[in-house]
Amino acid sequence: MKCEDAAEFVSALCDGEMIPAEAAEHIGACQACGALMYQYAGLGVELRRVASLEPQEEPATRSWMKIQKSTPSWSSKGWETMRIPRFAFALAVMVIVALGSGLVMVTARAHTQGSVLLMTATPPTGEAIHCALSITDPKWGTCASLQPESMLGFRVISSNGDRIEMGIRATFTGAKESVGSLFLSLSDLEKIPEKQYWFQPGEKLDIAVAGWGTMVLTGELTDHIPPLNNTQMDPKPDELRMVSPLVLRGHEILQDFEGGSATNTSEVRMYIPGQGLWTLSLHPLEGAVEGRVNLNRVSVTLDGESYLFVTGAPVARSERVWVLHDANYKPDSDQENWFIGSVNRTPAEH
Amino acid sequence: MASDPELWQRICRGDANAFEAFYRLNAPRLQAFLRHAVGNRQSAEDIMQETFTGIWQRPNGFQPEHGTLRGYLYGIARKRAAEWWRHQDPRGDAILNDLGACRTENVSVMTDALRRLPEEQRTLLWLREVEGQSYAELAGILEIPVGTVRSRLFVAREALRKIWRGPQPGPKEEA
Repeated sequence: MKCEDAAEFVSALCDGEMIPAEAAEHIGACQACGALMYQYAGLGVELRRVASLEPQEEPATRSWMKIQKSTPSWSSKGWETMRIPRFAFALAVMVIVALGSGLVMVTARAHTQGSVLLMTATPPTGEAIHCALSITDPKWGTCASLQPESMLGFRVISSNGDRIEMGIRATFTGAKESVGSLFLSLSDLEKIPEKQYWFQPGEKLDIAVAGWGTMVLTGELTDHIPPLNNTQMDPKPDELRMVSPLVLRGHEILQDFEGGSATNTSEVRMYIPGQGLWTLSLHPLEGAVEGRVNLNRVSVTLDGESYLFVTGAPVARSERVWVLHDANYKPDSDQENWFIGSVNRTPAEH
Repeated sequence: MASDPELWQRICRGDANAFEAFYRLNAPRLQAFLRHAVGNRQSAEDIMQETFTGIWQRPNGFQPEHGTLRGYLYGIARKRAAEWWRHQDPRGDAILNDLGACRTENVSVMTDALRRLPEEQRTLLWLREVEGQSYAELAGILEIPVGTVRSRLFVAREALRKIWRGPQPGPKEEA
């Protein structure tokens, strides 16, 4: 037997394994193989010595009792039905979706009890995301932001004193606005591996997002979910916002967009299956009809029928809004549910 | 300490005390293993926590007849570490940056040699030499045949030896 053939058995001997007799005979008689065995053994000793010098860190305290198997998934509460559009245009038009903040608004109407984390996630680029997450009620402990360039998901797993264990999903696609259409759903978010973090309200938590940079989490505890999460009563200049709107035609409810919102924009698009697409803009649009803004209501008459949009917050500073209805609009994917999104145009495009 | 099947039954029943004991016993060493597997202290802790959380939330994957509970734990952690590596920028400098904080020259030499090995070889050597996993356990953790464990351990040892001590004296041809 040659040394090179015996070498693997030298390694096996170091592991306490039995080896073939021929190999054992060679190793016993070969000085080189003996030296190799000595070196392999020395490697193991050295590795264990190095490991012994490793700091034995006490593992973080966990509250296993508080992790329930019934912790809702991202698709709970019917969120999987919410799809976020990026509209197709003949020319490049910047389209940003603002449903992420709208999802948070889902929590606003129904939950007002218990410890709540008012969390702000500031990504490396783009606007900060504000979520109100219940610490005590998992049903209201999730929020998400889906945008063409990034998907973010936050969930409260458990708490220990003031510390909150959070499950965070974050991915950066870097996708820019372009001609075409893209639909994102919370099922896309579920494909991203979740990481767990312990977060101390009042302190900053840096979260590295591959390809993007560092997202900074801050937050504070309060005893209720604010009715208007991070939404000021007074709209910003040139801002049109629809917060969890209800759409009526005459006395008929066409669609309740509960949980869906579009803010920080001057143009909002809302799709109702079977009814088409409504575009509301603070700027005149070709073919659009002028509507009236009154606090949290927009009223307009289209094709002889009166429409009323009732929202959860004042709509705009302006008293005028232009409304365009495309009854024949069909999403360019199998979109079976309503959606609401904001369209951000450059000033030159208005 | 309860046997693996007994402990597992308690964990499957949602016995938080049993899982806490399992966590306390294994978390420090698992974290040390992951520190060397991924080369990043924070990521190692994240992966360790994810591993335990995943087992606690979905305690249905362990089969006592196919290995030890500890082997099962390390197998999941290794997979998560491998997944972590897949998401890293291969040109990134941020990885393998936390192992240099060693306190003696010899430790630095071995740590440096170890970090220059491919992730799989580093993992294999650590599990064998430090954690004392048997060939059968390593086969289960790495999902490879036992015979392959032997050959891969040899390749890993040889690679580490060459880095650590230089290429000589290697096995020479002898009749």
